[in-house]
Amino acid sequence: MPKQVDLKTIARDLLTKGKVEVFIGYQAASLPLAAAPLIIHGAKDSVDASQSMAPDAERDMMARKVAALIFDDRCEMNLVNYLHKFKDRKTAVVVKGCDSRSVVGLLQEKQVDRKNLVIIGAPCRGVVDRRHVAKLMGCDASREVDREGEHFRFQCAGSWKRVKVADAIYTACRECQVHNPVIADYWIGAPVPQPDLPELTAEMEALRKASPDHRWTRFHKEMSKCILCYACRNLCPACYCKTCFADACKPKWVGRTDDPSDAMLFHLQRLMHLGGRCTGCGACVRGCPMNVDLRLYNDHLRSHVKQEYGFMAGMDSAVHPPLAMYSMGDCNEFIR
Amino acid sequence: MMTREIRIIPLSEMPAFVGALMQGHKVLAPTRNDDGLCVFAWLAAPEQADWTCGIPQVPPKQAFLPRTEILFTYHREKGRETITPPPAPEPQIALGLHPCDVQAVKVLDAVFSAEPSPDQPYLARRAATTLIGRGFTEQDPLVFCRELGIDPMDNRDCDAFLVPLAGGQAEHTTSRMALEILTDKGVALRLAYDGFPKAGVEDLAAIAEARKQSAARGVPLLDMAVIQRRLENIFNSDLWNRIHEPCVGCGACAFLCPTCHCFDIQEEVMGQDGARVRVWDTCQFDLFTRHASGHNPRLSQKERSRQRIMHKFSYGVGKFHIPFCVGCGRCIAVCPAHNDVRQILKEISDFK
Ligand code: SF4
Ligand code: SF4
Ligand code: SF4
Ligand code: SF4
Ligand code: SF4
Repeated sequence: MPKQVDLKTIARDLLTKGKVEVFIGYQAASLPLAAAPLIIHGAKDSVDASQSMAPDAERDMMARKVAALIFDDRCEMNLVNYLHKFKDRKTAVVVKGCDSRSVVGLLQEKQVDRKNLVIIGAPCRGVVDRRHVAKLMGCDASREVDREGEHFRFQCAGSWKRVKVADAIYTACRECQVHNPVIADYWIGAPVPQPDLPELTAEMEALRKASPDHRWTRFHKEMSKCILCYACRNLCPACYCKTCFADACKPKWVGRTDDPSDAMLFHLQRLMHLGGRCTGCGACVRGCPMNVDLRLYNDHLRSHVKQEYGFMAGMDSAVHPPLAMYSMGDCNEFIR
Repeated sequence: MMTREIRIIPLSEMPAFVGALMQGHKVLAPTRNDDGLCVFAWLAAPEQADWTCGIPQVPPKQAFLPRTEILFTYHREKGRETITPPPAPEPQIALGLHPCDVQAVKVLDAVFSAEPSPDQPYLARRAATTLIGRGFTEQDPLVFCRELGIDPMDNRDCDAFLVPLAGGQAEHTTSRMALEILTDKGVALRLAYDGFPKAGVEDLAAIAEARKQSAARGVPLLDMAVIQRRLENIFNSDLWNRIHEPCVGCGACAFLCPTCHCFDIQEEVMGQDGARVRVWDTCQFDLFTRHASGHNPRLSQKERSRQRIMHKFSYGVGKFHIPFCVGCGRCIAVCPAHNDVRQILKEISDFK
């Protein structure tokens, strides 16, 4: 098990000793219940963000940023996406259990170099779903919130309401199979217990048993919400193609009108591209401004990959993903 | 603006009023979708209009700039093309706009009526629209329209305006709306409001009091002139390296911004028939500025993030004398990286 360290201490150490050029972590955001990414440049950063700063001012800024680092149940963003930005630089990144699978995915696909990475693992019990909280409250109160021990308090239509922290986390967190990072150089907390979960969630069982008509209606409903902003794709650490099929314009492959068939085509194609690659990190779901429940379809996809190929994406960087490999023992003749 | 007349509509009667508006108009209003999320959407039934919504996450710009707008359709046969213009827009009402969303419509007006090529589809929709604003009393920590000089009780540029009034036993909850009729388009809604009583002396006092209270909540204004001048000088500054870093270029901020109006033109073709459509797009995407040659003048997120801020706070102010941001806070609410445009403005103001 990796060594347990203090977040700020390790960040300071890595940055000042020049062991990394960039440190990617979290800081409190300007809105309640939320954390924003915090990108810190070290003394030895070859492409420093503030080249024109005096060395003293630069050190000050680094120290201030290190002091602002946090990790708690507000830290929902999957920071692995930023690794694409700092590809050739020595980078440290804070990852939760789910996020760590995205790192493994990128290693498997040779998008990042392990030698350039320092992985700071953050064992995680789940992160807060602000929109779910607003729904539980029955008002848009997620913008005004207070924490009171194991509860959140909200001002809602003139009165205070309370909700248990445990009820406020994402569905994906409740179904999480990797609370503890699967890959890390350091851990910034003690491992958290991993509950035993059924192979298929109740929701997935129900969906699989449902009639095609029911599934179609549900799919149509979700897709009708989509405004094709592509935020889901842009947030997905596994969606890093230089030219996405959705952006192909010579010729154009998918339309972008408000006819639901355009959204369906986009999402179905994207799902196909994520078979055996989606780790279920939930970045797409959290980033969708329209609350499209992509989770349902990602889960469906992952459960099939597991069933057909016995493969879970982002668990072991030494194993090749099923759709990226070829075996003489394949049961299908056409592929041998 | 001269108020033509004021009617009082009890909250319980709002569906009747909205229902009457729906006679002969498409009505866009704040609604709550199945997830409980407030969005501006076209009403299918009068009860769908929701008066408890704050700033709906989806802005009202779709009334003027639909997500998909057919510019014309065509049919090709034997090398000949017939082009058919789309039908003229139906009369429509944009209902319940916060004064900042009304200001956003002014931004769109400025852009789409600019010479030398005023945008005909936009102007046709705009002309077919009656704007009914709505005053806001609640405070939302993400909304900073006051800092941009917009008073959430201001009825300017509206055809009619709803002032929420408290009263009866529940002192702080809205019990009725005062409907101010402000223009000829407003007067044209007479059939919908004629059944409601005219405002009495007490109502007039309550409206004046609501406006007074709102005005008393003044906040220090952001100095847009200073920000604009600063921006003109820092185009090549390192500051942008810092500002763009957390941005993943997802584009949600621009899609849901009430003033962002960038679009793409696409062809929807099936066999011999086709349509030229315009769809929402944003400067946050690589493809937006990629030339046919493959060259892209905005190569990385740095240039794209800079464009968003420049367009809103420098180019817009320079060319149209109006910032392309109205302080609605939507971009702050939806940004997955929690990029806060207020912090960016502060960094720019503080930058030496
Ligand atoms: S599709 Fe969504 S859940 Fe799957 S890896 Fe991408 S962002 Fe994560
Ligand atoms: S983020 Fe949501 S609205 Fe945007 S394209 Fe993805 S599913 Fe559609
Ligand atoms: S930039 Fe943000 S705050 Fe300003 S108008 Fe657009 S969405 Fe609203
Ligand atoms: S900020 Fe970007 S998307 Fe918005 S109007 Fe300006 S250029 Fe277009
Ligand atoms: S919503 Fe945030 S992350 Fe997405 S493009 Fe806008 S600023 Fe960048």
